[in-house]
Amino acid sequence: MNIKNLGVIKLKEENKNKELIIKALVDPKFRQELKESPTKVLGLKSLTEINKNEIKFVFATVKSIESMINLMADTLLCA
Amino acid sequence: MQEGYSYIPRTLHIFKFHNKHYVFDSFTVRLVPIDKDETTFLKVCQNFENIMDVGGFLGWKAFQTFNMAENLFQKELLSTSHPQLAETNPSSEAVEIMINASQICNLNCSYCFVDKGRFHYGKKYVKKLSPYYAERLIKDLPKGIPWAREFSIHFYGGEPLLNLPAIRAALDAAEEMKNSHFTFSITTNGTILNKEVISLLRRGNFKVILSVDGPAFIHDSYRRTKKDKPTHAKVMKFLQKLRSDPKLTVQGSCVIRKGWSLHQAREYLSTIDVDTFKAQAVRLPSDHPLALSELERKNYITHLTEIADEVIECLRKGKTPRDNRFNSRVLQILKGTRRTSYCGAGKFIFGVAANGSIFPCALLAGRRDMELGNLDEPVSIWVERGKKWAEANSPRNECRKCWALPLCGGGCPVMYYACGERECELTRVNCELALAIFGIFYPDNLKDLLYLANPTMGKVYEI
Repeated sequence: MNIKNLGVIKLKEENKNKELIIKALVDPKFRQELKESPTKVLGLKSLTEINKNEIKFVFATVKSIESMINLMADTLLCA
Repeated sequence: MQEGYSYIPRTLHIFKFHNKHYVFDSFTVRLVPIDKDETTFLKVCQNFENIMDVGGFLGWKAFQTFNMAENLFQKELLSTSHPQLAETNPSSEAVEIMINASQICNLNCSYCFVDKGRFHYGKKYVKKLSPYYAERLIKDLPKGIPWAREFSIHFYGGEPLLNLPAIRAALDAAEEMKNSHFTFSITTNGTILNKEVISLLRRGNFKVILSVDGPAFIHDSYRRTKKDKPTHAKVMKFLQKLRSDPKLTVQGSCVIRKGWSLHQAREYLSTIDVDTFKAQAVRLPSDHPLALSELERKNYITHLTEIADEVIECLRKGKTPRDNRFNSRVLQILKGTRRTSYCGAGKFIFGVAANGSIFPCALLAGRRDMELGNLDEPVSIWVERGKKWAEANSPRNECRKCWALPLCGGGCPVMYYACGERECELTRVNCELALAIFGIFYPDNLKDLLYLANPTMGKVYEI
């Protein structure tokens, strides 16, 4: 498994993507729909490369937020 | 109005932040903004089980009571049946291994809670992890924990930089494991500086958690070498080196103790070249000479509120706050899930002692009753034992009544015995402030909360 940072991708519609991230984070049904039929969810006829990358970014961000949620809530003092 | 006049009482936490009232439902992990009357009514509701009794107690007219109850039923803050319990936090796909690379330290800090790296061991114990064990651990992890997408290796101690051969062996092994993803971090006192140290830290692209308490007169009062020499100047030199190109990520870490406040510590941290701040009250029993006095604890809580305000300001400006203490909780509230344990100890966090013994957390090193195994055994064996340990160490009974349980997870089992209820009080304040931060952005500006996730945003795992 390799990790690749896509943070440099300029998101075309940043706010729209943020809304998608939040919806995918809090609504598992929506997340599934976005995965299975992204064109239907996004109201598009087909997906461009940019759209595909944006969707990838949404899923990756949701995953990393979920990892963050699991982090120790109060970091320990160091020795 | 729902059928009947009675309702199921449940744990609600009602609080005020900057003149706004909120109620947090621990059962559903949901924050709801409320007005003053709703606050009054809900507070009284906690003592009765019948709506009319609440109205009667408040001296309200029947129609007033009915309207209020109707409104609260609609908001799902009152119900005649149990609402659906919030889902648990999603399981982690990242595993953190805290390695006590060295269980000795070159400093002699009076507030050290790991006994200068001895942890729970007696007089005779292994001081340094062997390079063989370091290499073996890295090579065995991906096979033993196949579900993990990332292994976060955190060198801890003692002073881990006293054992460069083990760190080097771990890096060598990780570089060979091309199909696995390893990240490295280190908690260090920043007093050991040489070419090899810097070269290893750069090679592993380490995140460095650097202990620096404050300016020289503060730092040097307790962070001194065994020969009683001050260390602040050395730490500053170390920091400078870390921040020269290519820059490493550094978190400045301050210990707040008697005579040194959270406010002062953060002011100081903002003057040095670090990416993020960590400043926390010293975790010592209340009778320890360095423990905060009652007044200092009160001030500490006030300063936590100041930090919450700064976080809100940052998020409004579209910036990631440098103090990240609230991040994971606010995001958890956004997701609406509950924490079932304080941390991932035994599940996705493990500690490795210098002798190769495995514990649910590095802080438990030397606790024979908590030992999960050792590095000579297959990883899957101690991972399985860890799972059982985590299940057996569920929140204490007294936690079950606490409104903060879904956000706290029951407190750190290691620290509770040292700090007790005093630690719980601070955790509750942190939980309430995380709720308050969320409340400011709810419901219209939730997207601003994503700046809390900025450091990890954009990471894409490719299988």
